[in-house]
Amino acid sequence: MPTTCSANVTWGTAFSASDAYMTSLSCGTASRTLIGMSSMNRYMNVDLAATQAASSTTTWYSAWTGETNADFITNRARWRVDWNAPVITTNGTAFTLSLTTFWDDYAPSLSLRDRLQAAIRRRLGPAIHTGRKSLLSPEDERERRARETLRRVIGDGAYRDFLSKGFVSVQARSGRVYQIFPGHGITSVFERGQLVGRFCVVLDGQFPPTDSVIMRYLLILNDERHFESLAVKHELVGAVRPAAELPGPDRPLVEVFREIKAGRGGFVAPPVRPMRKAV
Amino acid sequence: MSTVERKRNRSIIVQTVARSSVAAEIAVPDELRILDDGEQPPAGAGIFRVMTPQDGDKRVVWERTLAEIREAKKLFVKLVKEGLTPYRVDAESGRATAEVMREFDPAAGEVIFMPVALVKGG
Repeated sequence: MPTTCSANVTWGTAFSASDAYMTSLSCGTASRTLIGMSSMNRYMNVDLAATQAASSTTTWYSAWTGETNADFITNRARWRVDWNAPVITTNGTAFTLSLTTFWDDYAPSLSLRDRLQAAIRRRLGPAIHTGRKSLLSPEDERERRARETLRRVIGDGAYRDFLSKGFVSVQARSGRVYQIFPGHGITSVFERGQLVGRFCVVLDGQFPPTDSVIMRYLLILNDERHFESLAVKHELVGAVRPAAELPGPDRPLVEVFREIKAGRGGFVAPPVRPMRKAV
Repeated sequence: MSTVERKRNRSIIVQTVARSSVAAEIAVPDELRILDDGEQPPAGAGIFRVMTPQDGDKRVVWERTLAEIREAKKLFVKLVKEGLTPYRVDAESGRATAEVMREFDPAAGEVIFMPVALVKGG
């Protein structure tokens, strides 16, 4: 709900954008004291050039009413000015502006430390992306039971890998490593890091996809030759898709840090509500 | 729960012939318990995890009492007779081993029954 709020805006003597700041703003029971809001034009979208050129407060008023509604953001809240009904009274270089605004409880903005940590975390992501999707949570009850069993079969650590990567790796007695995918996925065989085979072995019947993983895992561990004898072998040509390389960070971290510290970066404002046209 | 539903819940449909709808129904003895969804097996109990298309995995729990061990052994024999291969889960590592359990072991923690006959090249 819109609330009528009042703001006390003081301009510097030069009427320049950098001198403008809002000393206080209150809205219902909530109030904020704003200090040095020098980049006010950024948030309020005020045509300061026109304001500076104006010689009287009346011209300011008309210049301001020419603006559409705009949001400006404090540390913890978003305020929206309703330019349709502003009442401005002047008192020398200071004036009081009554305005209609929205008070949104913002989630507290991240601290400098948190923002920097997020920037570092983004940089730790893999540069190579295979485009493989992790498994979604199972909706089928049977699949959920099968996954419980798989967890017992391969252990907690490997199960976590299975959920995130979508496959299970197992080293057979021969030293070969088998990459097992759920359902009817083809099992890839690696020897010394090289793909040497693509085997298709399935369970006949309407088994949940993870049951196939259990079956292949147990068969490979127990009798690799038997597993191979059952398999339909697929060609290796075209099996390996080139991985996509994600764009790396383009700016030095020091630069990002300076920007965050100066309050310019690392903060993403929520989507602005549709604006109303000024009357 | 109706008698039919109860009977269905307490039976394991074993299909061991590939490309066929032929199946055998094995009743789980009343002495043994079937785990509900989300239910964790009691500590120290033995578990049979039977892979079936109908249930994903049917989990039958048996305590270490003589009566339940006896029933568990009977169920073990029936399942093997129908063509399922039992794999032992290592109690210490909590992982399946390559070991096929040829005979029922009352000390076994978990056993996974797999319908090997249904495995085929795809």
